[in-house]
Amino acid sequence: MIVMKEYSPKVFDHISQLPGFSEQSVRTHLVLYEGYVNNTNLLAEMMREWLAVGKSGTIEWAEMKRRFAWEFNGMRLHEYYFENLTATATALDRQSQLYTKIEEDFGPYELWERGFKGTGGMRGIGWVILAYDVQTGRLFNVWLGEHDTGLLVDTRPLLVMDLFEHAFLLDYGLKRKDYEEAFFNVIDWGRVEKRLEACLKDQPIVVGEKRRRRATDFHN
Amino acid sequence: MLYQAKSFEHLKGLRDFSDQLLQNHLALYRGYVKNTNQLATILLNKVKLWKTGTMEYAELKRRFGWEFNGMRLHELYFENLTKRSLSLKKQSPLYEKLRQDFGQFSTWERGFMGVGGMRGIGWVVLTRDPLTGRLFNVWMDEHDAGFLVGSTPLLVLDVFEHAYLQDFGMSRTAYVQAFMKAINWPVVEERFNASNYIPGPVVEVRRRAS
Repeated sequence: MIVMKEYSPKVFDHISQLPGFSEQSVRTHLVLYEGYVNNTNLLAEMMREWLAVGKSGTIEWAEMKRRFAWEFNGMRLHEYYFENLTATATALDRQSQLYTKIEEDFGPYELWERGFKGTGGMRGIGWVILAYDVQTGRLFNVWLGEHDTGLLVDTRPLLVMDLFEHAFLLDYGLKRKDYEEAFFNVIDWGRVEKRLEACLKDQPIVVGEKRRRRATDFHN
Repeated sequence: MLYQAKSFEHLKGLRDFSDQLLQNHLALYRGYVKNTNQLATILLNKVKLWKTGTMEYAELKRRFGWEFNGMRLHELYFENLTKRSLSLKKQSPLYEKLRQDFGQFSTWERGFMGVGGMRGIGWVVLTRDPLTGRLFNVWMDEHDAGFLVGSTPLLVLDVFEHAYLQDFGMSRTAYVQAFMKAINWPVVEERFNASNYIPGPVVEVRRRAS
């Protein structure tokens, strides 16, 4: 079978020397990520082939279909995660749209941070996402119990934190809080701001005029 | 306290497993015991206080199976490991049953290890359906997902990343192989021998009654 490579693993050289993360841990993580890319391609191709020969009614085809979002999201979430990391992190600019937006939706910035980290401290493995609701412009801290469970429909990820054990176990053992601190020290806020900008460009929502926006939300 | 964490310190020095990995694993296990107790207490208090109609009660209730099974599955897992592992005796009833249900012992083994090689994290359980006596190799995506109702777990393999990452890195096959070499078969046999087989399907009884 010739696998059509629709997706190829992105290169994340910029995180090979990440403060608070060992090279081994990052390397392991990237290998895992490539597994998701390979399997997304493989599954997509297999489903296409099975469909072409009229085998879409089989149990195997159905199970491949069920699994697809898991592989695809495993790929995409990792890409968001690696992309929002940087070895040269600076704090989020208080004048930025993102900062304003966060304070609009969560109150003081610290409250948002507490909520995001608190979500990360939940028992069990998964992902924490700061997500943007395309329909109302509202931000949410969301918990995903698996790659394919819990993501809010029609939202876009702005900031993604991996809380599978492979993300922290090698460097932090069971100290998940320490990992979260390390993560916060390497967030590429510039990247997160760009993601928000892209959302706002697609569907302009006036940031900094909370009341007016909320009022229109309720009328929609 | 309803549940006490069992001691599995005797597993230190397990072949192919570092003490550090084991220590972390046992610490995780104790977390499940602690949270099972805590949840059970909170849930009961909510009932006493007429708070069963609340969101918190519902969500805590939803979580209970996860904590409880996280505790119990780990106990079954640690219990079916030993530093002095011998292969399963060919004369044993369990061996005979595996052969009966899977064709050959090696076929069962290949199946069990194959389930362990599936992508994603979870558990592999050899479990027995008491109504037919049939054995199944089962995959569980999470502590509380995929277990066959009413079945009796005989052999449990943990394939969460904490079970192998520190010692085996990405080589899950190597971990599963190490696990197979550390199985405490007498414990598995005991579980099998103690498992109840209720002969005759329940359906028949019902048919006669109506």
